[in-house]
Amino acid sequence: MIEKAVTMSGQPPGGTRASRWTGSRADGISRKGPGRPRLRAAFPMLATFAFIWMMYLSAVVAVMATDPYDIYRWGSRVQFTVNDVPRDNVIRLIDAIAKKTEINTFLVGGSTTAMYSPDDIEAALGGKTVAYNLSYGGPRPMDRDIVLDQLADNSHSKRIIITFDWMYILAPEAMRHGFPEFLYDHEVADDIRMVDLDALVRTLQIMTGQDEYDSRDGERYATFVKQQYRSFQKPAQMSKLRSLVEQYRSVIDTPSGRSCTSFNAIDEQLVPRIRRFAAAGVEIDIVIPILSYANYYSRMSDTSPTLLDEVLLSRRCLVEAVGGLRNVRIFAFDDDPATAGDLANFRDPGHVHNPEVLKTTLSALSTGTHMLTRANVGAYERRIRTEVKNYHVYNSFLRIH
Amino acid sequence: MIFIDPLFLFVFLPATLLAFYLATWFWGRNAALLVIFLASLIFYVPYGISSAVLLLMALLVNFSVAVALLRLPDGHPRRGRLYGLGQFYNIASLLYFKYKIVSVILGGGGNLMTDVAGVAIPAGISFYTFHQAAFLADAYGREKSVVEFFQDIRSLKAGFWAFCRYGAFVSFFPQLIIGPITYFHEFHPQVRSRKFLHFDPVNIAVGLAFVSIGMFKKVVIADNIAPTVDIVFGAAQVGAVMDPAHAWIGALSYMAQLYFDFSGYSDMALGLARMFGLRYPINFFSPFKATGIIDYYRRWHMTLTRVIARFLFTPLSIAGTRYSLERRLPPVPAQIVSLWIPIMINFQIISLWHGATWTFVAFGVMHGLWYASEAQIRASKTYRTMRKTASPFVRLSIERAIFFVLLCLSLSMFRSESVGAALHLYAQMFGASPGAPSTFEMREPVFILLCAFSIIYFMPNGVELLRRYRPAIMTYENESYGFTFLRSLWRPSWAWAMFAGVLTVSSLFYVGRQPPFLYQGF
Repeated sequence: MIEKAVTMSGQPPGGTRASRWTGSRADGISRKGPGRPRLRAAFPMLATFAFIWMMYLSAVVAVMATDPYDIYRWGSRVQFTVNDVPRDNVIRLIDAIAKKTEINTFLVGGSTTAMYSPDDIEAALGGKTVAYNLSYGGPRPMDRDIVLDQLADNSHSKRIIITFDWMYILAPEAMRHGFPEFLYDHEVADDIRMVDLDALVRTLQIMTGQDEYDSRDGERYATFVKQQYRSFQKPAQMSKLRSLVEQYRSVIDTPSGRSCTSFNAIDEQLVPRIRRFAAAGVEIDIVIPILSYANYYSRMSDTSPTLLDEVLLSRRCLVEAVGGLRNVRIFAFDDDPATAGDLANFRDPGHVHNPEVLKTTLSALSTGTHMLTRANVGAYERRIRTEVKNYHVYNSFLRIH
Repeated sequence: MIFIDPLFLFVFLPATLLAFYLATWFWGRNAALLVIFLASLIFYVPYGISSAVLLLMALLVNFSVAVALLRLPDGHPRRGRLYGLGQFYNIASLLYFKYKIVSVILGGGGNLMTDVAGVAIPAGISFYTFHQAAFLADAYGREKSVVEFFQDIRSLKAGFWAFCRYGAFVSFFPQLIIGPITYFHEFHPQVRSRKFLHFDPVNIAVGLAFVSIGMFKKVVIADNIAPTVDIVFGAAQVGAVMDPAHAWIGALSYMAQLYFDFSGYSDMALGLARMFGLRYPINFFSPFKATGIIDYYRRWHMTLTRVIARFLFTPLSIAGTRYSLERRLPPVPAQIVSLWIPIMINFQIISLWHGATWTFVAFGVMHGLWYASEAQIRASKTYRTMRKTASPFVRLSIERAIFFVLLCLSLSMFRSESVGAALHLYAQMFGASPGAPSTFEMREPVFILLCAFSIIYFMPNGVELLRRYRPAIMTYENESYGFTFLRSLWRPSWAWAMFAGVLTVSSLFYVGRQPPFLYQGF
């Protein structure tokens, strides 16, 4: 068959330069002759792929030997720039950061807490706090478990601040798209997957003596946040939200039919880990990120039509499970309409932008205000439910009432 | 292991190829097939030791039954029973491990039977079971290749090598997990030929071209479409409201995701097999270019279609036709018995083969009714008259448009978590919640969809592109559409090597994520 293909193309070599390059001839017949070795015919493909193969394997050897994410015994001992938040790559550096013995406070959060620098946390908590922010966008229950397990296995933490995001209403096996779980298992064979552009760049940096990891992400992140805030603070956005609120007001607090036993991500994953940390003497502060009241309307489509009920229920379940445990405190701030009802505080319905509000959230950890307990969780839940149900879009910056 | 795993591509595959060609060179055919067999077992072990043991057991049982079937004379009373026993083993293991039928009958865990059934579904069990069921049928029917294969077994040693060859046939890793489902007469003559013993660099080049194209389809296209699909179908599952545009984009995205995922796998399977000097049957031939569902099933998962047609539809249809002739049934009942019932059963089996869920049952009903209706319409006088008079361009355009919409709706049912979720999605697609909050940012998914459907409709498929090198065994003869000049273009030239290299490097860019092929779940 192949012989036929090649035999029929039995013409002497020649033709134009272009035809040699593409392998075609004006007469539609291959330039390969019948006597010409087939190796020569296939040479361009074989050479190209041999090159790719060698380059890739060399990259694998270089990356694994250098270990830019410090996951092996011979790891590169990554040094982090003081006060840096490597948002660009934090999901790959969990292990490296957790191993830093000098860090005693970790913030394990999502996009709602990614803006805090170690300095912000240290200033808010005071004392001998040496903090690091392990927040990354879009965490899910499964990868959150991996992060907490890495801290449990490696860190010398005295305090862990965990954000209790809405994502805990999801299935326990949900994992963030692109989370490199292969870096944190015990299998070495799958670590080959870490070899990508980021890993190569970092490897080259280490090879050229740049041991200190500098994400240079701060400026980019600040610009992103500013742009997001600007594009959200527009009358058109508010009017879109207003029409959504009016359209779905009647169904916003529809019961989900769920109970505490149905939140497996909380029940089976988060709560046991919190208990273990607390029993080991680690202080656990759980922070419930502030969601605007409009958020429950705007996220009905991509999350759940009963989002409000599920989120409030999940919070109550958490408080009932770990509230009152030694070393565990839970903080919530969104029962205040001046904060969660005023869209001027937000860069989108689910992310606070107002620096004052952000500061209050952190400082509450040292002052002990805004704590959620078994005693007040019922009132807290009722308040938010009522506020969301009766919400009218309000933005003090745009003077929209 | 999966094909897009760098460990597979950069370590396992080169090592296996090297071992295979060294074995061929030094020790010949049997050693080469032993290498294939052992490498396939190594490939399969990461899916679970128990799965590998089950595969080996299935190989042993089917091989032994086939040997016995060929030894016994045709009229022997035990022959039929033995054949039935062999097929019973295949069907029973499928029901037991894939459909957890024991768990369904006996309820939850608590005894050994349900505990064993409760383990994860062994990877590729549907494929290798069909593979072996077809082989047993060939052995029972004394198919020429099977007879020829077994007649050489005259000693224990010969039996061992024959088993290795059989093991290589069933478990050859390019087709073990997702097919194509191959007949023995497609495999055996190739490994018997002298060409099999010769290293041909062109085979490697053709294989590499297929692998690079397939990997790009899967890793770069299908996996980048997946997030939109997950959002929309996840939202439909929880009953969230959606703007019709978002709902349609979600449904279309799933079409494209499934297409490129399966097409990517099929290309890679052909390419990997070709690197070992073997041609496998085509499983996928531009199915969205079909003009109707009949045409579609000649292009989509073609090897499953032909197995089902051979073992299920044809016997049922013949039996129905005989019954209607014997009873002299009037035309409508005769059609029902000889066409509609066999087709409905056929599609129920095909859909349940994917898994035991109500969405698959509904999908089977939809496709069964559609297939039978189309068969009736195409056989009608009105259609035949219209076919003669109407412009082919207009007719085919209308046929394709109808096909596309119906396929989109039925695949939405196929993908949904539940029938309720699918119905909810349909409601959203047809305007139940206009102006609903935005589910996702539109720009990127729409752009990817435009690219994906442009490739589907305007580009030749992998088999057409490499047609010059006879890349596969034709399963069904299919008409090609699109630009003729793009077909048979490929040659192992520098330009094409660069093209394949760019596809590979682009795919390696996304190598950190390893979502399995969609058909691995079936």
